[in-house]
Amino acid sequence: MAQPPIHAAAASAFSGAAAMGTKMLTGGRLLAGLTDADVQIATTPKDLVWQQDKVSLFHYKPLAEKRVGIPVLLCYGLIGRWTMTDLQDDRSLVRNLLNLGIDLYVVDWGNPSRADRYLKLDDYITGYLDGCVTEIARRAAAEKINLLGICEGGVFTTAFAALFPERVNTLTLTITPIDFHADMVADSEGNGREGHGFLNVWTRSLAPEDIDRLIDANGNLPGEFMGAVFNQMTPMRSMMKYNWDMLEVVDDQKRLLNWLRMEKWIADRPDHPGEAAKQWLKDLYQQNKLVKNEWELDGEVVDLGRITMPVLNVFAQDDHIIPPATSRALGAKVGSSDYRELGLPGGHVGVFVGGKSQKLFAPGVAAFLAEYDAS
Amino acid sequence: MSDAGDAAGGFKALTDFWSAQGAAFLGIQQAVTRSMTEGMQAMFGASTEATSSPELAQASEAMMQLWSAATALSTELAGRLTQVTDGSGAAGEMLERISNPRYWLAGTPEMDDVLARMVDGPKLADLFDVERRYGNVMRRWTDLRRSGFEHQRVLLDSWMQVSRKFMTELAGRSGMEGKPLEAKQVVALWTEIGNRQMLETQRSEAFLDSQRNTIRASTELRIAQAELSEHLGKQYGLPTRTEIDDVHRAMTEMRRELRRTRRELDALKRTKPSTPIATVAKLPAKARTSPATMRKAR
Repeated sequence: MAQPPIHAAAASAFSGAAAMGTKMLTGGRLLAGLTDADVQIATTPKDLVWQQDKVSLFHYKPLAEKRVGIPVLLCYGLIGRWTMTDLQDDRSLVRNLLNLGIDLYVVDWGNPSRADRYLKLDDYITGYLDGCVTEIARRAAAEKINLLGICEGGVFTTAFAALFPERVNTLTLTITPIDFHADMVADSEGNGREGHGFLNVWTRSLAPEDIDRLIDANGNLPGEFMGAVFNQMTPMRSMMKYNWDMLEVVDDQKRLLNWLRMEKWIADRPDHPGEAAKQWLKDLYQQNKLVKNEWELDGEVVDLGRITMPVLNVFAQDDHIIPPATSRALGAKVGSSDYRELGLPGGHVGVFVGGKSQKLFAPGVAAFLAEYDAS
Repeated sequence: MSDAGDAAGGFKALTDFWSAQGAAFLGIQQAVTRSMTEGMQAMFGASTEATSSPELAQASEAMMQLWSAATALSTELAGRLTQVTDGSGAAGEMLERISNPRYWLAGTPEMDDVLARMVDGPKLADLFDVERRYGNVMRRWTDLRRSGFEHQRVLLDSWMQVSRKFMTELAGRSGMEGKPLEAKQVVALWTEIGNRQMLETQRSEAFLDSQRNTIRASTELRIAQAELSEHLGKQYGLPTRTEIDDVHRAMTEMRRELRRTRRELDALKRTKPSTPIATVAKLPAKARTSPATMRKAR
């Protein structure tokens, strides 16, 4: 093949270098002009309605006429924070639900410190979550409310629904692990694909005593530690994000702000209370007690068969953290006569912020809730 | 100036540009070699002097041999990159990252940094009167260094595999296209190969074992540090971590009990609005605390 003339190749390189220079200059100016106030997340208006210890319950102000009377409690887990569901105005599950007339509450677990190391998942589920449900039911003068659990928060709501089925109208789960060993089964829908379920593999590689010692040494499971484990799941992305990836968006204000908001959420990783972390990692990730109906909270077995209310199980089709099979295992275990699934395009986080999934997510949930709204 | 003069001036400018780019990339290559040499000194120099542990010396020696092989491979890789891509502008930094395994070690095992920070405790060098505990801390530190070397050896081996696959792939692509590859293409290729290899490495027993050993070693070091500081704290009458933990445990249990009591009271109020609160104290202990009883009450 004939070589291109040297001046053509050089001109192309020169033009590329010049374009890069302009990009960096524009990006530098944009970054210099930004303040923390420009990168706010979770800005949808809400009121604090209940507090206990470090736990806060918020009630969102309505954005549209109410179409579903029974309120919904959005419950995230202790790894990361619920603010992912309200990242920015045009990427917000919260806003989308409010715009569809849902009466929405959210629980914030606060920032657990070393003083909270003895809190167990029992405390969060039969204590704080119970308190939130009681308060919402009182305010709405309802006997039951709707639960919408996300990830570890989905496990909380699942357990609550199994222990107190008479207090839950419907159960909606999102990217929630139920069978923590289902990552080992490769299937035709992509389960077991490259890189998926590494968190499950990694946790199983530790001995139970390793987890006990790690928690005993640090008090809690540091958020920074979990962040490092998550970063291992996308190794090259983690290695290049602050130079190569940022370079891609640095000269476009809208894309840069989107990127920075996501970074803000990622950086907000509370520590996971120690005893609760032992339960999460040993009872569930290692011993897989939930799906076997062997998990106990407050001395009571969490029997998934007692989940008799309607269930909507939302999973992300390309979720490398919670592979779909680990979520979908719930279907075979619940006692409900109406169990549905909604598979959305995107990954563990993309399901909340991706354009395609946003068009399906909130409308799917709202339609399900409306169907079972007896108020 | 005439057209011919313009052309000659333009050509000279382009030649100068290419010379500058070539020099810049050679500079990067030299920097990589320098950086790796310094890295080797930093990684092995201090540790071998600090302890006479044969296990640590063995791990250090194995790592040094692998590092030498990686240095040779890095030089070859940097040379290859010079041939197949222009390496212009801001992409130079990324190309340096590709050809320097230190970035691989620094970027992928973020866990090591986190573990190191987690065990960063008080500076203990002046605590000469608690030799036994201090010795324990040093022993744990040695264990951590050794397991760190072993883990880095797994990662470095992975980088070498990526580099070899990358060079083979690069040779094929640049040959087909017949022109220098854009830096973006080179980075994309490295990312693709690197990701695939790293995901495979992370699931290997060697990686999981060495990372688990590093976690264990860092945990034991932190516990040894805590024991030492507790010992000192007691001597000076300072509250210790264990004592504070005891208080926190008691507070958590009291709050737990308070929540249960409140729930039971609420449940009683809902079922029997006229029941005096004092009645609750007369209930059997089991009825006051069992979640099953609470559910019936609801």
